[in-house]
Amino acid sequence: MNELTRRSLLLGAATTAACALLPLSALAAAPRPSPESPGFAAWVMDQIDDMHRGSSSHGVLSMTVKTENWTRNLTMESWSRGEDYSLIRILAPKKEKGTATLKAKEDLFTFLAKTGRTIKVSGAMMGSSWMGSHMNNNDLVKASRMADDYSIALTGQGTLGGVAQYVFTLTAKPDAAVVWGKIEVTVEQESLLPTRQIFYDEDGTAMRALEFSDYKEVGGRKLAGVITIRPLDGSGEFTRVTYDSIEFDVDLPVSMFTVQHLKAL
Amino acid sequence: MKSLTMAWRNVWRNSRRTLAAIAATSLGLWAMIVYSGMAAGYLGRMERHVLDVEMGDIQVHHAEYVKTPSLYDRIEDPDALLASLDEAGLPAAPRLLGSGLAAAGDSSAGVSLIGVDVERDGAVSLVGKSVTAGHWLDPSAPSEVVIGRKLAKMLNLDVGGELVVLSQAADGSTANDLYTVGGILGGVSDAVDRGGVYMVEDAFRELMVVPDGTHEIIVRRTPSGDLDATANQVRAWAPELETKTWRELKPTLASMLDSAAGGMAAMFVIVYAAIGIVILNAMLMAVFERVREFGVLKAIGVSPRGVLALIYLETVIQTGIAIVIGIGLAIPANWYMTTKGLDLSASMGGLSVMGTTMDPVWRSAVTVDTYVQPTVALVIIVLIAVTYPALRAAFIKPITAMRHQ
Amino acid sequence: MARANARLATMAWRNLWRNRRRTLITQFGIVFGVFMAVLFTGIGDSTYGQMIDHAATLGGGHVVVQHHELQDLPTLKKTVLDAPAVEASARELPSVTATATRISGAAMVATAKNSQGTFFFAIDPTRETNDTFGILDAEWEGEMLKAPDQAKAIVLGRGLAENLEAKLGTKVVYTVTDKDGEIVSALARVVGIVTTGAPSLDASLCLLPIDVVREHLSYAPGEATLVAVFVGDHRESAAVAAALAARVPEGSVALTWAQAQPDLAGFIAMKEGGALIFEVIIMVLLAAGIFNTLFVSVMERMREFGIMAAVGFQPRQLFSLVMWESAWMALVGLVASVVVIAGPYYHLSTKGIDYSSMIGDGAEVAGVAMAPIMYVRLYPTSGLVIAAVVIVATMVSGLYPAWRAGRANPADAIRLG
Repeated sequence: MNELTRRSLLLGAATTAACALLPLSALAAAPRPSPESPGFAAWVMDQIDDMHRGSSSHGVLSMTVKTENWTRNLTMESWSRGEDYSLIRILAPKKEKGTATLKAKEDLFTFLAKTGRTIKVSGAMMGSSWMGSHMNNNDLVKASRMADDYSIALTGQGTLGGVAQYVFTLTAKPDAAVVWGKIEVTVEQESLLPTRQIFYDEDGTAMRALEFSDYKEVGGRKLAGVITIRPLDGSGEFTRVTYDSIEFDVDLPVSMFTVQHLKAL
Repeated sequence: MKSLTMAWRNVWRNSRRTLAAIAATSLGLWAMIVYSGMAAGYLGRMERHVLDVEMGDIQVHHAEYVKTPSLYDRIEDPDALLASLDEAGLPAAPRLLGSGLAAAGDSSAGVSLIGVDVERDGAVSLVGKSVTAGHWLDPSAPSEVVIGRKLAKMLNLDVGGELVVLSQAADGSTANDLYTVGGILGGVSDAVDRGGVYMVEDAFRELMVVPDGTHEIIVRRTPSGDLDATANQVRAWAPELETKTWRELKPTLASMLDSAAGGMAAMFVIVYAAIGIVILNAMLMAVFERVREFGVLKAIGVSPRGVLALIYLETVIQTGIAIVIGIGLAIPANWYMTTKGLDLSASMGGLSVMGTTMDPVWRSAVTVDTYVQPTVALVIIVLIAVTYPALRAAFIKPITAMRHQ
Repeated sequence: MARANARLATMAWRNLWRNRRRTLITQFGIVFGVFMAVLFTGIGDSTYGQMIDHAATLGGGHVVVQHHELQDLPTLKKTVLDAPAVEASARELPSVTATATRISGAAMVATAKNSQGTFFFAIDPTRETNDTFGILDAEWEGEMLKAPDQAKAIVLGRGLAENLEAKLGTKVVYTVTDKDGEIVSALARVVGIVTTGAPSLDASLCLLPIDVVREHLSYAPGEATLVAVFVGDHRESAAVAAALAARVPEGSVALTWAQAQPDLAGFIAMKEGGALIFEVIIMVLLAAGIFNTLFVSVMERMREFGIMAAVGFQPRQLFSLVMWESAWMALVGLVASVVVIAGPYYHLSTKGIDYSSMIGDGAEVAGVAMAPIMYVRLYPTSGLVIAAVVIVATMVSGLYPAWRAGRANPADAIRLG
């Protein structure tokens, strides 16, 4: 259970289907500084943070969760509007169909389809696992910029899977309300798409890994088709999110992201 | 025979003095009997509450469960063990345990879920009898739950109210269901009061997706059975499981009960000493007042042994009457204290000691021993109290006695 | 008349020592009874006083001022807006010794290793002493918070720290729901780990500097969830609460420790009830003994009373004589009690009885750890009550024998040879 309640950064974005989206047009518009320039690392992180800004999306994704005791597959439909609003609803298995999580600003609600009730997730419940995965509720609402919480430096280059990569080290700022000591972010040199993030505690022990793979181009954007979260405790457990379909810049009213709408669904 | 007649006559010769002595003795005996009933009730109340309502005598779990409770560490084949226990005549019941979140209205609270085999559970636990509002679980109404009183208050729930239970089922899915509050428990234990949600076994299995196995088997020993011996017996049937007595599971509580028993024993000594003083006083007066009379007896040739025998015989007669009166008066008092008891609830709302909720009504626990032990103690006290004055009287020189005022 | 009374008193004093043995036995009974009463009342007075003070320091004081709905629905939204004003008006009351403003509520605390939901206390460490916050003399690793605005500091209970795998200096992020219902996270580093010995407290204790928490919760500068008011003697709690009730701002209530912690109040009421029943039993037995003595001694002396009546003593005077005997008995008994008890009392009130081996570690009642040393300390009023009970019980026991003595007539002198 401990594993399920561990906190991580950015994982919440996975549920908005937006974390690994890279709007190519935006990239093309902004001039790319050279890797040697001092602002390069921060610029890359901003690019990653900005991937989903201002965009709205609607998609279907599957989530596989493997733990010591069970393995389960879920199919979910997701909607997002900017960084403030997102809604994710289970399509299968049948038993849980309709169960939904709503994020509106910093509030989080769980809608239980079977009982027709909505529960607001309180601050004290933030550590609980979300849908049995290796993400917790706090991961879903966390929405600060990496550059706000971490000092970023380009600390290495190398190849992963035959592709040249930059390795950035994000060291937690002394005042940042984050549990990690540092994060190592690996980014493809050419496309600047993230491939891996490893989270360390302050003693330098790797606690968890976030892996991005199976990049594909959808609607003019390139995104990771598969995101895997692994606790690095040797348990072999993981949560894997796969995008089955996704569309962008859809028109979604704010009223969609309300408790009333949840109940009406 | 002659001395018996004489003793009998002496007893009634000075009826006022006799009555005073008998009154003191019977009051002492009455107080001792009632007090031992109350003391036994006080200790029994705590221990019985722990055993009858909270946890039973012995609990069997998966080897890992007690240390790190997990939905997955189950007793895989409870039926085999239950069959052995049934055969041995040891009441036993399985329980399924889990944790989750209960919500009603805008409030929510972390809860412990307890799945109960209603029929079997009745034989091992009085928790079903602790319902103060509504009723206990009914296997034919699986959508009803019985909850702890503080939880009911926190969630602002009454009998008939609805609550949602949310948890993670054994297959990883979101466990959630809507239940109706069928009953609210009185004080059980701090944990149950604040977060206990009892449901019927089938409802638990469906909610938490636990098709087989159980987390806990509660075993009661037979009334005459020794706790450790019974535990060893159970251990032999299920060597791969962890069998623990309530004393092993709650050592601090057990040692506190032991020390409370020690405190009670000390109070007994004190009460008996107080009674001893009263009786000694009465006996001293009864004998010394009659020193002249004994002097006369000695003067007419009665041996010290004869005087001693006479005093003892008189004492036995007096004490016998006192015992009859004392017990006679103690019976209604004990009856009141066992059936009605002292209701302390006005002064002590909901109380928990070491996490165990206490019944606010102080009732006596009365057995044959409640009467026998104080009576034996009384006889011993009286005999000791009378020996000194009796010896003085028996060996007094007639001439000294005659001068005695 | 006064002279006649004085004579009766002298006569009664002499009569008392005519039967030395009987009087001594009765005295022994009184001393025994008083000793028991002192022992049990004294243990109660000191133990419960200790428990109440201890509970008060870890809760909201002897009297707590808080939002009127907080007791039933604990949430960080129910606050007292102007805590300094409440503190000031509480300190105007003469029996109030200290006040403290605190914020307590639910939070999630997380490290990279684990997270746990718990309750936190936000305090002003410069204003708290060991009399207001009872963990300061517990076992510490690291140190207590230093200032109300100390940045990024948190103190954890030993059990909580172990569950979070936190050491001194470990980064902890705490998350709370603020006044507006928003979820807020903040960073802190462990500056102290405290072991109080009460398992439930150690597993949940989380202390934060109050001004820092105020900022995170978007509280106003003087805002808090509770104002703890302390009195020198917990028995004054009810009076202080009543006096404060008129002074607290609207929407707030002043609750005594007993109202705020009914569990503990119930426990103490039950134990005191038990001790009282026990003391009553002892007292009744001893009164019966005294009655027996006086009664028999009067009956023995009926002839003497008859003679006294014959020489002109009034029934009232005979009655008074026996009542004087009872009074002397009680007074001598009390003096003897003081002489006998003084030594043991001194020992028990200063050294106490160490019963830690009996209860083992970590005994707690209603979440309050019990001290392993039991002291016998009597409140002065309890001492007076015991003395009064002894005198009244003895005098009441003497009533019937005295009445019988008053009925003595000259004929008794002849009839009772």
